[in-house]
Amino acid sequence: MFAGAPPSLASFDDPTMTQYACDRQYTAYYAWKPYMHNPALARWLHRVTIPTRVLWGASDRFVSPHYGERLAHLLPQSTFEVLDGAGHYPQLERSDEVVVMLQRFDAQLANEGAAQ
Amino acid sequence: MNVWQFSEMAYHPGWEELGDSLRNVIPSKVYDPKVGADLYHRYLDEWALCDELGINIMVNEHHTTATCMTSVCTVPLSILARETKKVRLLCLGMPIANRMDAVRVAEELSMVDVISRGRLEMGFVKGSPSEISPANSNPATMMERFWEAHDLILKAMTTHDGPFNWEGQHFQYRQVNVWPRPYQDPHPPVWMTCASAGSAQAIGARGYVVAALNTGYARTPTIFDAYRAGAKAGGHTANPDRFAYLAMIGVGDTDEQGRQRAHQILDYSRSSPRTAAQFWVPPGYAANDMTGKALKSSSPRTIPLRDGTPAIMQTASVDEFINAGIAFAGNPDTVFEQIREFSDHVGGIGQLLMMGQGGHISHEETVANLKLFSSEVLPRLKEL
Repeated sequence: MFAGAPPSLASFDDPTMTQYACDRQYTAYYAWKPYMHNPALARWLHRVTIPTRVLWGASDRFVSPHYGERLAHLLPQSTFEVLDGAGHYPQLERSDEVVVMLQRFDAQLANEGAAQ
Repeated sequence: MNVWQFSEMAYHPGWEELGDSLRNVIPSKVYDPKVGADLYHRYLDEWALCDELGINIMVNEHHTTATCMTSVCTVPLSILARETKKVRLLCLGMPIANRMDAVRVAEELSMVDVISRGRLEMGFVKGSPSEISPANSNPATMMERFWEAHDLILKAMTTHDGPFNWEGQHFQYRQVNVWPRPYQDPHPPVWMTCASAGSAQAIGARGYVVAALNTGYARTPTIFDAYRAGAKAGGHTANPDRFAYLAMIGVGDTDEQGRQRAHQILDYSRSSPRTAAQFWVPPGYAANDMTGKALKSSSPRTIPLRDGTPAIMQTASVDEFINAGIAFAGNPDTVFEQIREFSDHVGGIGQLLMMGQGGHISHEETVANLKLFSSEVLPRLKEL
């Protein structure tokens, strides 16, 4: 449904939007509490040893970038990156940039692996 | 026709300081508690006056907003239960799907009913979309919680032989045993608000009072017709006292004065759309086809006029609000005729919810509005 440029929801037909609304409904239905994740995991994140890149929308109006920073801080091998012009769904709103960022991260990991 | 005076106890001094959102993200630093205290006392005084004027009282609640300082509806109800002696007290309402302890709701309402010696009317509401965030409640399971809370509250109020156990989907209690029991037997009358035909039918099937809020000429008949169908299916008689309608009302000695008062009260309606976009359409809050359409739309909120054309709610004139059936305004004769005409259009209303205070209208103008309505319009409404 979303690829490339930020989506203009007005450009989609009604059945597509109804399906999109249905997807949102069931995401909320199954994952609203506790907060889309398990808060008890915070004390275990120090055990994650794989390199991690945390990407966050600079304009996220539900969960601020500060929260992402805290998450990154709990992951020992992580780096934190903010994407300007993105809100709560960077992968939808700025999908091209997100792909580039992931590719850059992947290349960085490959170079580090080669150097070792 | 019974009349109920409604105010949201707005903190209007905060309205000018912010841009697009008076709800949810508004910081409390714009709230001056000293000004707020004066306003609370002012609004409570205006409700207390209604006891002398023969106008019943309606209280609601909203959260995290400068449009409504009533964050807990049972607080003003408790004060008014003691301060007033005659008029009935309507809670419209209690957002039971957003209250995580339904038994506590039963306790609060029962207590108000006893203190008021049986003058409580108990409205259960879904709550607006922007209420999801402050309540932190799951919008996708909202109506499941609503009806389970409804069942539990009524059972808690009507069980008088000791504790019972409740093992529901959303509420679990080992021992439910509410004290005090309500003053009214079996429980205070139940009201519900609704904005859709489907909900109206479900309310009609139970025989409760259905309240349409600002739904105007265009939408109200559909809601009331669906209620009648539901009532018939449920074996209930849909008398006019089952139908309530909320409108802004400004009465003056002249048409011009009444319209000026309505113009000030209507700042309540004009401020309502000032909600940040991320709180408009919670996932699963409404039917998916409606949600899909709402997500697509970037248009400002509108009100439908009688000829079907839309007027922008945030800037609409008094004339447009009157045309839409959302405001009744003018001299007493004019206002009576507007109410009669609207009641006829929707098949008869027995409960008029009057927003006689709202927006920027002053205390003095509010008192004058209520007094004139009570002396010149209210007696004639008994004919309807």
